[in-house]
Amino acid sequence: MIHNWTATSTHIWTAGVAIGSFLAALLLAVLALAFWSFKEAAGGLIAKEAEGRLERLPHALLVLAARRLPADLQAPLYEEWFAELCHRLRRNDGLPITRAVVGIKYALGLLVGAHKVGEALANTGLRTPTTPRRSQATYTKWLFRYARVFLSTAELIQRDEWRRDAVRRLHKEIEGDA
Amino acid sequence: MSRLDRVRYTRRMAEPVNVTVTVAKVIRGLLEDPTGEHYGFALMERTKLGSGTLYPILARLEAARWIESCREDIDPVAEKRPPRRYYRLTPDGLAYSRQALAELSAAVSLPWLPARPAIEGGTA
Repeated sequence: MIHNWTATSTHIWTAGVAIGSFLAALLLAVLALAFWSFKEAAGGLIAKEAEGRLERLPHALLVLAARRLPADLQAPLYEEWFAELCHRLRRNDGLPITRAVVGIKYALGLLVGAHKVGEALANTGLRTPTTPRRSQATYTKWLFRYARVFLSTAELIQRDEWRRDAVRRLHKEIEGDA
Repeated sequence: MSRLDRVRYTRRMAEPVNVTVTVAKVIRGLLEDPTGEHYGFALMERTKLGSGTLYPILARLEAARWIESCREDIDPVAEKRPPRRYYRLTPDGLAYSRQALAELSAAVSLPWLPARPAIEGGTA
């Protein structure tokens, strides 16, 4: 009997190619799955990061607007504008881009008009705390503390973790400093 | 009431304000509810003015005692937001506002046309 080595080698070759193709396809599938998972995770993180930054931008602009006011008006007016902004943004919960547009528009307007508000209210006794007058540095410190405290408050609201103890702690921080 | 909310308020007569068309828009927005409480964003929506225009006008009106502002009396925990500040017309401010709107309306109306019908709460 004459063995047909050519045919056998062809069979082996064909089987090898099939297994190789299968393994390559499997590898590609695993790589694609890994890439997709990474992309989804990274995309989610990037989107979350961008949303967080966008969320903070109006508040940062409000701080800048408040810095344009006379020192003793900075904290009271920042508080007023912040409360208004929070109220307005709550109407757009779940719409990050709308929230950002509304918030940035509001804050930019105030950034432009803040000095006029300051001119109108300066030396009127309105919105001025009854505490003794402090130095410019103290007022600036107040503003930044206000901004930090209120940003924390905004984040609590955003995460729906507005708890009585957290609010009490934040208010105590303000009162303690004032 | 927090320490920061206590203001040195001295009762005095309202002072005149230069009423431009933009100021008149704000006054008209306030006069839509003469005794009501008006919040910044609500006034912005009603008058179609931006925050950079509205707040300086409110500040001028407040400095002239046409309006007064108070902090909203809410429980921040229950409402899940900080208290807002609202504005309302003072009695003097109400009279001045009506007069100012009437004067502005008379100044810009054509002499041969009949006077515009009064807006409810708007003109005297």
